[in-house]
Amino acid sequence: MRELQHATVDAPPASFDDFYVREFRGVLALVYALTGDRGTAEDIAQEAFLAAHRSWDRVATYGQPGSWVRKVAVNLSVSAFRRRMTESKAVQRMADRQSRAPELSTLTAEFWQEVRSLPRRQAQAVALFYLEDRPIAEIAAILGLAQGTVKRHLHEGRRTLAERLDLHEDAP
Amino acid sequence: MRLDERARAASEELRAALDALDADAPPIPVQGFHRDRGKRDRRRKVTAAAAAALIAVLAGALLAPTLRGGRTVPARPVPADGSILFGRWDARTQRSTWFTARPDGTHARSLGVVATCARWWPDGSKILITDDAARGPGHPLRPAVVGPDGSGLRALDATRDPALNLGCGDVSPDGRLLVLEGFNDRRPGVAGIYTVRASDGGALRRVTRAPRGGSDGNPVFSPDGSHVAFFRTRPGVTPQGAGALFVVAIDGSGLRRITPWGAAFAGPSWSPDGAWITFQQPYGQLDLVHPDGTGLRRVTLDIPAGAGAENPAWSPDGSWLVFTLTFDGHSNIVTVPADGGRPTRVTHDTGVDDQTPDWSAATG
Repeated sequence: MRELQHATVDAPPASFDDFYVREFRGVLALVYALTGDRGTAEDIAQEAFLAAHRSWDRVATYGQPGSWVRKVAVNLSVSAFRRRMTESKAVQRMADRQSRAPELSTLTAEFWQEVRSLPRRQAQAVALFYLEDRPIAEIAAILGLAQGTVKRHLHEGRRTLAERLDLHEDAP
Repeated sequence: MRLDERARAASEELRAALDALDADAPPIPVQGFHRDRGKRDRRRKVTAAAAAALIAVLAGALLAPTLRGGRTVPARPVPADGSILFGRWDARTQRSTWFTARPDGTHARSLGVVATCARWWPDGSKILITDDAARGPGHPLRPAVVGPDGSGLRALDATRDPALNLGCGDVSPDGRLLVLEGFNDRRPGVAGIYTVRASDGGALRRVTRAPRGGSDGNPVFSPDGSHVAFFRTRPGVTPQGAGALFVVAIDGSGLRRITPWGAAFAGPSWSPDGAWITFQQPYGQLDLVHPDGTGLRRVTLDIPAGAGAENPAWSPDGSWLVFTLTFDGHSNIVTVPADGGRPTRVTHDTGVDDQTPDWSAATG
């Protein structure tokens, strides 16, 4: 399953438009998981693909352009993550402002909320590991970290999630 | 239940929910991407031109390093006097607990106050906060005041309108007025900037009306108390959440936009001499602009690639800025000379998010 998905995701795209159509939804879901706001996620995904378009001659030659655009999107999400909480609005109002939110079960909404409450690198590693089903090496490439560092972030993030959600932690 | 099982179910459901949402409101198709790309590229070119102009200005500044009316900013250690107020954000509770520390990072202590916003009283004798704990059904958000050690909370709740929340804001230089953001998401017509009496929160007066679908927030007084600078949002501005800074007289007259739409992301801070306003750009940059909208320029910060600078505020003497530096997943409070450079940390904690600093001359 994982090999099939990634063989598809990272096969060389025929054109930027093909690349965009193939990858946009995945990048949008990843950024939504990290920001919790669909409008923000759309904007960041758009910015990330715009960056890819500007450098398409170069990006297209990369072995994994999908990883490249995710790296840009994840980095942009850091600012967005902070932006949401620094608007100095009353916190209750912030909750009200989330528009066009996907309808999630309580369990799923709680899970992603807990992911977003993790330290940022842990949240990114967890989202890429579960939502994108990425292996450690690819997560390390996307986040620009050593594989050992990703393992540590993933381990700490999973342990915290298991504790907070009262779940059993499996071996990664 | 096992974590992996729950995580994979949550992943599957999130992807399916986004797909279901797309049936009604599809994500940007590739044709839409190219249309939007044209707009964004044009905006980027405008920004590049502004940056080129900025470089020219900075080149001149190297020959005559002046800022704010010709005063040279000296290179010197971070001052030890004064007190920086900042919030420590808890993502689980969506609340900030407030702390104070000396500008050199010593004497850090928790005030035990939980609030959305907090700001020093001009003389440093008190702290204005949002009274989050008192909010509930029939009890809209109101300001409150606490002592500099966080004790003695007193509600400023003389305004009775149950449909109006009064949130974050500032205290006038003479300590007599508060300027606050008013809002009610169920009654968007009330959104705007308001003033109330600082002694009890009464004598409500409206200063601005936010645009339909937008908001007015982060109001701050000018040093002479005659004007208010604030951050306005309106629908259709990109990137998401960005807006523009405005200045208005305290009686509501002379409303003026002082930055381009989309150039600001969070609230202004007015320099003590009144000559400059600093604010946060989208994606973590700090800019300066004169209150009349001229002289827009970037604060050059020596920070790592990928780091973001947020929530700037001036030191009492106008020589320094304090702001939130976010890098590698954590946020800390830092200071930097007002003409830029390498920041110095005030807080050093890891695994926390310190934010929204405010700097008082009083040491407390």
